[in-house]
Amino acid sequence: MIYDEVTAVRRAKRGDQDAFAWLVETYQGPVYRLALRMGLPPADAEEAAQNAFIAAWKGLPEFRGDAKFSTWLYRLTTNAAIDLQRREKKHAGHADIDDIERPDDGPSPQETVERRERSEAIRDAVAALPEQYRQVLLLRYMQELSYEEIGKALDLPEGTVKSRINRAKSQLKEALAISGNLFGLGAVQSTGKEEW
Amino acid sequence: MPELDMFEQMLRDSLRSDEQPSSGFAAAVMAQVARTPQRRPMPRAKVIRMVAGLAACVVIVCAATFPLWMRAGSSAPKAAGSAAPAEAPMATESLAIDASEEGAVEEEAAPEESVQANTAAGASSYGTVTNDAARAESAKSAYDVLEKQASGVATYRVTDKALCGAARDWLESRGHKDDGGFVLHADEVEKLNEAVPGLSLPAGDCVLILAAS
Repeated sequence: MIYDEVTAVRRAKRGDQDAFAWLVETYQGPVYRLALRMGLPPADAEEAAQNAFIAAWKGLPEFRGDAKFSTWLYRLTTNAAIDLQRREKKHAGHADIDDIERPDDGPSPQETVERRERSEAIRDAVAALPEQYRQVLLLRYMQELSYEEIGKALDLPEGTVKSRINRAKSQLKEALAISGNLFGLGAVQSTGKEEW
Repeated sequence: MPELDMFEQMLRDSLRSDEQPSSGFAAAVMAQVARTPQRRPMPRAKVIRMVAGLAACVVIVCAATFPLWMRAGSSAPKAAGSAAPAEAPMATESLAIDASEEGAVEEEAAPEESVQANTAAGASSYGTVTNDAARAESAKSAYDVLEKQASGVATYRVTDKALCGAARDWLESRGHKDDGGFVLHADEVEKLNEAVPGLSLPAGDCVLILAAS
């Protein structure tokens, strides 16, 4: 059966497992990738994603709909990932980038290798960020949530979200510069006002 | 700032991917979902039933203890609400004096408290008796029985204005002074009853408090 999100959420809240299965099918990719980008290896990312879906299933009857379901689900996912990392003390990001899709703009083999290295460096740097910075950065640049949505998802004021994102970017650039991976962006100085 | 835009774009590109969980992921999730009950918020009807049940319990307890409250209330002098507040301390003082004459000295906050305290303590320290007969006597008389001592001396309080006026006139004409109450011997009580017919105090020594406002 095909649902729209609102209908699926409404029915799942009443215990309709088919409706919830539709939500799982719809969001399993984004949730899994978010868990991966939180720095978990694939097996742990699946576990975190599964924990997030189970938490969503349990908590759905109390979900008031102040935020979108997806936003709420992403929050559950980052929390599940953080819990898993804390439990297993695994902070290293996964390094498997072979299956990452690249924009098909006909890059040369050398460009492809450079991009791959750069992406890997950035993902590693993101994975090494403190939890609170990594969380907002991923919700913003991976899930493309607005500041308002991130604020709702994390119960944070919008100003705090913006400042965390700016600090996250500053730390990220600093880490990339130290590792020699800023790729020509070394001249960029953080003003702390980029997102305001 | 083009460099910043470039950095953000680079960030987005690096984080973007189409990675998918393993093929059995959704099925595994749903298998676990099937075993997991949802956390249901308590239904409103259930909350209402609980509140109603609690209210019913309170009503039952109140109804069961109401006769006890009534008894406690009637054992206290009616003057608690009707007598002038300024006169209550006077009456108390009088009772205290009377008690000291009987060999027991203890301060009392108010007459009704005195009666209740005596009831609770078995009247052992005062040698006083407050019983149902006295309460019954109060109920049908022009006076309240505040106290009956084992020696037979009773303390009565009259709150009716006309009776108080007549009794006070008669007593003062006979040289009695009101020290918060009139101490009367049995023969004086008899004469007072004759002079003020509506009073009908029981025979015997007593302390009479005229507490009309």
